[in-house]
Amino acid sequence: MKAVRFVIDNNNNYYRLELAKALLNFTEYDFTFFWEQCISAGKTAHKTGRLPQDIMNTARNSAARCHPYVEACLGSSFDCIAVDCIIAYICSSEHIGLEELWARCISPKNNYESTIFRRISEYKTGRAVNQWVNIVRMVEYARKKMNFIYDCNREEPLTADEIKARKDYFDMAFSVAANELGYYSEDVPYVRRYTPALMPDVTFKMVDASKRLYNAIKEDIRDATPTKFKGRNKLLGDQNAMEIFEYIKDLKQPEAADMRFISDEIAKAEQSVIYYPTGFKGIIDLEFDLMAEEGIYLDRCRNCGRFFVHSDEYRRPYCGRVTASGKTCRRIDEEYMAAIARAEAEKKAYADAAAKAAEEAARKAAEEEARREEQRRAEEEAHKKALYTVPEELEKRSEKLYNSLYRRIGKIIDEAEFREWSQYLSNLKKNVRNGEATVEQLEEFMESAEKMYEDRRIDYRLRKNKSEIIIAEPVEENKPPENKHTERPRSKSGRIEAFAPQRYDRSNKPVSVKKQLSDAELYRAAAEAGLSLPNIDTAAVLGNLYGAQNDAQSAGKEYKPFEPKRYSSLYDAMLDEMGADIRARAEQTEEKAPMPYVPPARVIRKPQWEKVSRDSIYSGESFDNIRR
Amino acid sequence: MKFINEESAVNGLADTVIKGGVCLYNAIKYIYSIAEEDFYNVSIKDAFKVVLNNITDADSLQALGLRIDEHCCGEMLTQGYNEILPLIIYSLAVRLPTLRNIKNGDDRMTDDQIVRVYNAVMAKGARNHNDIIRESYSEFRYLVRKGKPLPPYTAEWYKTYIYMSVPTLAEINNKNMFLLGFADVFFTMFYACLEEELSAKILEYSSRAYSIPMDI
Repeated sequence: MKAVRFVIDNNNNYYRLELAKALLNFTEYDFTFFWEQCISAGKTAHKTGRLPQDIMNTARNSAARCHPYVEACLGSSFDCIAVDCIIAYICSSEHIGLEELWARCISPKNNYESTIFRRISEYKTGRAVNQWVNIVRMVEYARKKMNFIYDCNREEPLTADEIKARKDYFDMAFSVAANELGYYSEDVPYVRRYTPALMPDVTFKMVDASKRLYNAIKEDIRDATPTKFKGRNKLLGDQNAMEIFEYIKDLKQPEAADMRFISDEIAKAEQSVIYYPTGFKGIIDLEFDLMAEEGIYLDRCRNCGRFFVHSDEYRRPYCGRVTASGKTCRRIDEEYMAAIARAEAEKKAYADAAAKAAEEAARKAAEEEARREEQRRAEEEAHKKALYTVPEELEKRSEKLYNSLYRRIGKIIDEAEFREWSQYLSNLKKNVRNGEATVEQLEEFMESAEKMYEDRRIDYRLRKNKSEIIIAEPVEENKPPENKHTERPRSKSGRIEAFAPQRYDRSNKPVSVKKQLSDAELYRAAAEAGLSLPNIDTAAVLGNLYGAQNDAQSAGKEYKPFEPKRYSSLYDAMLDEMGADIRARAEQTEEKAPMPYVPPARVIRKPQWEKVSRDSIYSGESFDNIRR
Repeated sequence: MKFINEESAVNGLADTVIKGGVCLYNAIKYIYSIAEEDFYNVSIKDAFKVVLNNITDADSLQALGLRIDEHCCGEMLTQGYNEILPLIIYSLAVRLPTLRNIKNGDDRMTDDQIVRVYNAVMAKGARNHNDIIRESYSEFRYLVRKGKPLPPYTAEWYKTYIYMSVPTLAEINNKNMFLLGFADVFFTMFYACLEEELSAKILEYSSRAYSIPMDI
């Protein structure tokens, strides 16, 4: 730790001031022992009339350890610090002032009272102050200034600029207050800075060197008359100095030995700069200033709350003092930090494990999700496939129906209608495969087509049977070729000709109608021929027919034969059938049947333009209307 | 008045008068030194309190940081001023007949006893230099016996002597004016306190004679 030297009045010794150490020791010094010793001495003196010097000396020596300045001044201004403490104790315990105590001891009856009287008289005449009270107040001052400059709530230490700013602010506030209260700068303690040779009283501090120098100049000053005391006037300082200079202006350079002797004597000061405080506050302020200059910073320990010197090696705000637990604050902090680090590590490990577990779970969940997605996609695909694939059974039915219709082109269906139907079937299948139509729709179409086929086939048979009944022998030469599906007509060049159904004209054959059959007779004939009539209860029909015939015969009425509903095209028939079926289902499920999409009719309306004026636009009314 | 030891009482009273005179002489010097450096440091009121509470011990003023050396009161360290002390003692001695007014019950000091005290004081060196002091022992004895009012103890003779015999103090300057100013007040107050001191002494000597515990 850096140290400086200082001297005081009426003392030829040099004293060492260790920066920061002296300040910390002073602010934390325990004066309990000193206080107890003083009270004990005072009580003894009150009984015996004489202050016990051994106790007083013990108390003084105890107080001297609080600060080097007190130690230096122990033989002068702090000589009566124990008496000061006794006086302060009497005044505080008996609730009296110094004036009353002084008057009480004005005719001292013993040495104790005389001592107190003399000490208070010194207070009264400004020759002394109560140094015990002074120390107490100085401790408060040092603590307050230390708190002001170095107290910091944040973890990282203060910067040099911050410390300097705080110190300057505090000192400036003190100077302003002193000025406002009417004190001159000389009225408050300050520190003078000297080189050893220019120190006041250097002739007494360096006696040997002074004697040697006196011998060198004694010839010149022998006849000089000592100056009578003229009073302390700063304005006369230069004049005094020049009067002194008159006697040494002919000083010659000494021999090397003399020069070396003087320099060796001055070197005994062990310091190139000597500080000369004029009061306790001065040296405390000096310590703060030098600490800031030397980069010695204090910090408050976060554990014990006491200040300590901040070192560069250990940046944490914990001191090295031993606490009641037997450990230093720094050690406690290290253990605490280690515990925190362990906890952090455990926490991190736990977090890592949790994260790993979570990651594993997430991975499993993702896999599961992927699996489910895959399954769902497969199911969806299967469903879609099932949904968008024409069932084999339906495919066979459609193929069978196609073939059946194809074979009967020209009989029960003409070619154009067949093409239209087959195109529709093909499109519907394609739509089913694309998902734009359902299998049910295809199935419904197939059912309607099959129904249509059956109806037409029956119709065709009926018409054919009717013809067979009437026509004795079919016209052989007009019989269509049987392998019409297998053999396509080919051109001479071998190219396949476009399908063109052959037409057979039967009109050129004469048809003799033996007897005109009624519908009932036709149905009976169909039943006898073993033909099935769709959606017709043959027995009932026959029963009815016979009954009706009987009835008709009896009543003379005639019954018309069943005529299936006729459509202009197969598509209309399908729509009619599908619509009827859908409407029936909608009535059953009380749901609105899906209606085929009908695009809305385009309505062209007349634009409703509003005529606006320029003024209405600028006034904003039109925009309001527009907004509305 | 009956004393257990009349000789001791007479010497004791004479000693008190002489000590009082010496105290007054030194106290003037101490207080005069205030004007040298401690004019604003030492309260003259405190100095009066100290002296008047220690009527036979002027050195108590040293507690106030006052000292009587050549630096502080070199003007008083002259042969002429040294004659002040016998004059002060004489001025006090001529007023000894006032002791007759001090009673212990119905008992009081006789003229013979007072004369013996006066003679003892005069024997210690008191004298009226150049008849500066106008009052005389017989004059005061007459006034006391007749019960007439006594003239107050003042510093008139002191100032007269200074003007006549101590030119260093007669010079008009801050310090000397301070001296002549406080002397008027101080002499009167001092004599009043000295009278109380003598009364206490007389009662003390007479109480011892009758074995009466004294409580002042």
